[in-house]
Amino acid sequence: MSIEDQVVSLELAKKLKEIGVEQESLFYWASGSLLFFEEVDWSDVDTYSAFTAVELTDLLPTSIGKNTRLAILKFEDVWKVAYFDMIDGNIIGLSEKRKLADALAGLRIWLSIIAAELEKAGYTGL
Amino acid sequence: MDIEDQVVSVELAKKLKEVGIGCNEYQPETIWRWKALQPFGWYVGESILRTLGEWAPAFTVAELMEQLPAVIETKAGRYRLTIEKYEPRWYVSYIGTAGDALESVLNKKLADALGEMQIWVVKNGYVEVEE
Repeated sequence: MSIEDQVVSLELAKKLKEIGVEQESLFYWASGSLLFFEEVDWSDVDTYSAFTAVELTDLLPTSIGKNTRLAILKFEDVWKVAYFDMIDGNIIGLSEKRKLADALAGLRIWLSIIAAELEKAGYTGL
Repeated sequence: MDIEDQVVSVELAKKLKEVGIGCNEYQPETIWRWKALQPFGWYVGESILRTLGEWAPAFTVAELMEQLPAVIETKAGRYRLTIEKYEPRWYVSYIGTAGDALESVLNKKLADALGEMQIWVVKNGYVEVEE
C-alpha cells in the first residue's frame, strides 16, 4: 500500500484547505501531484495537507450531538464513515469512498457545510 | 502528529511480527518499520532502507484497516468491521446484524486497537498468514 493510497486525494485536500482546515500534516501535496514528507515552503507553489486517516480522525469530533457517535464501517469495496444516533440508529451524515482517507475527508467537509443547520436543529459540539 | 503516533506501538509491532504479520524482511509489507538503534532505542524509519539490527513492522492505520477482513462469517452469523470513537478510546469490533459483537478491542491509540484486532483475527484463523 503506497503513501498515496493512505492520504487524502488532491482534490479533497484542496477542499479541506478551502474550508479552513489547519494545514498541519506529515505529508503535503505540492506542485499539482508531488508528495513531500516535510512541509514545503515554496511561495510560488500551492501546497495542501495530504492528511492521513489518523490525522483526519483527529479533525472529526467524536460526537455531533447527544447520543451520536463517529463510526467507520468497512465494506468490500467502500468505506462508510458517519455519525450514528445510538438511540434510534439514524445516520447523521454519511461519506462513502473507496479510499478511507477520502471517506473521512468527505465527512469533515460535510460537517463544515451543514454546521450552521445542525446548530439550528439543536445539535452541539461541532 | 509524528509518524510514531500514527503507527502501531513498538511492543505491538513485535507481537504482529511474532504471529507472522509483516514479517517478510526482504519484501516489506509496510512503508515504515520500527528499528532498534543502540544505544538510543527504537525509532520509525522507511522499510526500504534495510537495517542490520532488530526491526518490527510499523503498520499504519490505513494498512491495518486494509488487511482486516470487512466481514467475518461464523455459524452464528455475519459480523462487520466497525470502528467507533468513544472519547478517549477507540473501539474496533466485529458487529453482527443484531448489534452483537463477535469481538471488540479498545485502545486510546487507533493503530494499536487495530493491531490487537489483527492479532485476534489471525489467532482465530480468520486470516491466512504466510508461513
